[in-house]
Amino acid sequence: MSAASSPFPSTVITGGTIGSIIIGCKLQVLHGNPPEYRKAEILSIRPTPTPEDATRSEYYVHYSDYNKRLDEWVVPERLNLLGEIEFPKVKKPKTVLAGIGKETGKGSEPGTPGASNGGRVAKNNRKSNLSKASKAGKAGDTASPAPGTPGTPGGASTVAGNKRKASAMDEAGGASQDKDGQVPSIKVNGEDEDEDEDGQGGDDTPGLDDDGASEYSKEREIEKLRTSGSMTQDPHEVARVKNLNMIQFGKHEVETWYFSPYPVEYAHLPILYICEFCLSYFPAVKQLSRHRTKCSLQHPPGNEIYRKDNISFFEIDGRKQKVYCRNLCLLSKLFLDHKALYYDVDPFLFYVMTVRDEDGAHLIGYFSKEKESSEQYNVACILTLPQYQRMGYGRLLIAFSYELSKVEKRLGSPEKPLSDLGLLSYRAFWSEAIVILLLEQHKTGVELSIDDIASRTAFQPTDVLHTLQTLNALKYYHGQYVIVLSETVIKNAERALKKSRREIDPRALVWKPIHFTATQLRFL
Amino acid sequence: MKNVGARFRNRKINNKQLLHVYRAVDIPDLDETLNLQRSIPQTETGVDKEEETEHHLQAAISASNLSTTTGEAKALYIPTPDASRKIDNYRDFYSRAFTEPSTLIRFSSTVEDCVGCPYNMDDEDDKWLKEFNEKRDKDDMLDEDHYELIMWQFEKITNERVPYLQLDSGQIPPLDDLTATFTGPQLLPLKKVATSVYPWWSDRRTKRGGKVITPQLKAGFSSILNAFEEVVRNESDPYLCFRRRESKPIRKTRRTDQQSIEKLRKLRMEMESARSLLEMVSRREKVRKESLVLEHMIFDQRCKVREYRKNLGIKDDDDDIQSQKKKIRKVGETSATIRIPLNFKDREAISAQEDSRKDRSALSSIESELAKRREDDVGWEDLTDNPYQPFLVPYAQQCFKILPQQRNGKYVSFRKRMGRGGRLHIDRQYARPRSSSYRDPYQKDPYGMYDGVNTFDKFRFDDDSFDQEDVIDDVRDAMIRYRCTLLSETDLRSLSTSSRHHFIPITHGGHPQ
Ligand SMILES: [Zn+2]
Repeated sequence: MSAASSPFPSTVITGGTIGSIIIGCKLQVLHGNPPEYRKAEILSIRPTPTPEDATRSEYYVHYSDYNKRLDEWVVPERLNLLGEIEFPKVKKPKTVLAGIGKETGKGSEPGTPGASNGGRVAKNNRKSNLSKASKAGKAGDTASPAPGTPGTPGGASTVAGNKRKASAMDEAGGASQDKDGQVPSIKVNGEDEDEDEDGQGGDDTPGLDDDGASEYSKEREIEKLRTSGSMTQDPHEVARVKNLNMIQFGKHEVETWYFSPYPVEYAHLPILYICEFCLSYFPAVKQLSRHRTKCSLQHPPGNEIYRKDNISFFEIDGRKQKVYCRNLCLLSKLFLDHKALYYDVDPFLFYVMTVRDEDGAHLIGYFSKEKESSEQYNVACILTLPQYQRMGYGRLLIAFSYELSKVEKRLGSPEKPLSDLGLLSYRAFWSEAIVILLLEQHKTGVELSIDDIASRTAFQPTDVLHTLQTLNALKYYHGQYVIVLSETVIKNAERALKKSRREIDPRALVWKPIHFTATQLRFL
Repeated sequence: MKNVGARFRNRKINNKQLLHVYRAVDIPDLDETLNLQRSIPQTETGVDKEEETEHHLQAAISASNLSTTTGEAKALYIPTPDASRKIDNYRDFYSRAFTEPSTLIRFSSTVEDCVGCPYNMDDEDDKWLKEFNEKRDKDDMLDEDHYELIMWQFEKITNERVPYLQLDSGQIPPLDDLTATFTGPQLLPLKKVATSVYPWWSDRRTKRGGKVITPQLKAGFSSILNAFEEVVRNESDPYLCFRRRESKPIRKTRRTDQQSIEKLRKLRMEMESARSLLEMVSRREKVRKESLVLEHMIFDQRCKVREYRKNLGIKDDDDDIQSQKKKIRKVGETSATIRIPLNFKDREAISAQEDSRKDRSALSSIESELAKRREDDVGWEDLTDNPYQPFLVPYAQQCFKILPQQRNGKYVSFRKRMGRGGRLHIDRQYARPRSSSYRDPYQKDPYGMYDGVNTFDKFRFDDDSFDQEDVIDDVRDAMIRYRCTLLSETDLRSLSTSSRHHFIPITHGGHPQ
């Protein structure tokens, strides 16, 4: 539906050869189990020559509307070369697109109605980038994508310098907003940034519809938003390629999710070996085993502040345990997209959760916390290692973070942005805690305010309000707002209560908040 | 209905507003349609906007919404890459048994403290070492621990001495420089075998372009080299991490630091000057005590001398005994002198010279006195002299002579003058001191002293009855008022245009007719 009516017919062609596929191309890629085609964008290409085919390559793809953690390297056979292929618009079309033997669209249309709209979108986009960059510690995140792919054939690598271009390609290539008849204005060679950033809103829509994946009403609403151009993608996010594939951690082998700035020499190793106690990393088994003969750590190098059953929490000062905390950050960056490693670990305390067995206290997850948060965040980053996910450990971590806030007599909230998994975990935790509290309150028959709930849970009032909304519990009744718990909400809570789960026992917490002097904080 | 909705739309939920908690079954009369209209704007999820729309997140959110509304508990997970595989040779790496202490663990050693030699040999090292050991005797083999120690020592010393090796890999330290550092019980025995490891190490290091063999993080500002790299490289290099945070408040605090440093410095200076002052006081007191002791001794000695004299019957005057006390008294007198305006003294000197009746000894005593005072005045500025310069008295005015007798309480001065045609004139003028207000010339002068002063100034040495002996006794009580007015600031200020030393003519100048 897009190609035929596009004003730039040369950017979308049906069918092509594997040699014509370049970075920025969008095409159907086989994915999942059972395998099905899904629209994806080529983010990087690396050669994997075989005796039969010296030019054989692998392709790093990002599936439309999937989280980046599902980005992967695919063999050429998984690309649907017979279907439609969207080619990116590039600065020198003749040289780059020579392979497909077609002239790229030179149709510059300065007066198209999309122009003004494009300017607005671009501005919004920039503003959001700015605000992100201004947040301390987040700046690095937005600015640290696209590792260079060593050995990528000429001109096809996605090094930082190419990022802007790559994103421009993406957007121009997807300039197929035939739905509302709006045509993005694109200048020759795409040198104007404003125009480049325009029109991306609708580019993924066809793919979604083709898949028939949108069976959720909310998604449709968001579709509308997207096509109207008010949502934009951060161009830096698009061209990210993770640099590691797999880590061996303790007894687990874990596929990595995102880029992490481990030494560039280790990029694209099949496996990175990590000592599960000191978190040192090694490119080969030999080094790990040598290290293990010498490493004497059997628990995180800090003070144990909580112990209940086999679960312990260790408090670690980033300033005092720099190597450990850096290693921990590198490790967690593999699984956290929005974690910033731009700055050093000094201003943070790390609360590491472990499970104990006969070998030692094994790292399950952790959260970091600013020594002094200007925005009342009680958690900066929070992670349960993938091998321990969906076992209720995330709940423990979150609960523990609020126990610390209760001791501090402060309200807390996790630092934004949350990841998708983070949002779901927090929502589940908040609603459960609030429903239980409300049920107790219902028995007493006493009214309470959102602030009351906040002070009893240490949640920020906005999080309380957010949760009450997701529970659909705020109602207007007889001229005033009331909280109404539906029977299903109550049933869900009771079911959860009956489950025998690990809980944080506040009595097992032996902790006093550390107070840092202004001088200590200044030199962080 | 629409009106109701509009009426309430603006009312936000207040965090302090008390809310009643109901179970849905308690209030079956809840009007859901009203609630739809009054729906509170959704708060932000906190997820990045572009990720909020992701397929799997939306699916999970929808599923959880479904479970709160219809009770359909359908757990929907966001798919994640595989993490389920486990290795079967875990025990190869982790074999140390862990015994947990009964109390909470308190631990402050760092990772560096706990991992032993930081160099971990890789497969290349392993291969080389095996080949190396094949050529050696069984009891002379280099084991892995010692091999790593040697490699680490090479690496460590090189990083210390040639931190910029990667910029110029030709600067690899020679063997002797490195083996020289093999001291101590652990390394000394390895010195010899290190010689054989050196070429291998040097080779590896060169292959790395001079960089450390074990790849390092690009951590910002952990060394000069990294700082250098940071400048050279693009800020957005994704591999660059753990930068030093430039703390913003530093500038602000620097200023306050500056202020407090200034204060401290001042305080220190003051304390130091106080200390030196006290030191000098104590020194003075010591000297004084010493002198007292000495005086006492002298006195004792003199007493003895006197006694001896008495005993021996020597009659001699006791001049030497008294003389010192006299001198002291004289010093005390000179310190009480008062400075006299210079012009006044000059006038005295001139007058004295003019006076033929003055004898030479008096003159010389005056002059020596003046010289002494001039000496005293060195380094002092004479306030009484400086701002006021007397007007030159016109020649015609200078010819007036004051009669020593008073007439009607006034001194009268006369001048002889030749008029036209050889006529002889006598000009008469009442001599009166300058004062701020006009005074009746016939009234008895209440400020007789002024006249006295003026006559004193002008005719002091003309007077026959002038007493030569107390000529410079300006310290006498009678002069106090004069001295006061001389030194008064306001008086000095009022002297701006005319001199009080001059006579104001009552009649018109030299033309009385
Ligand atoms: Zn270790």
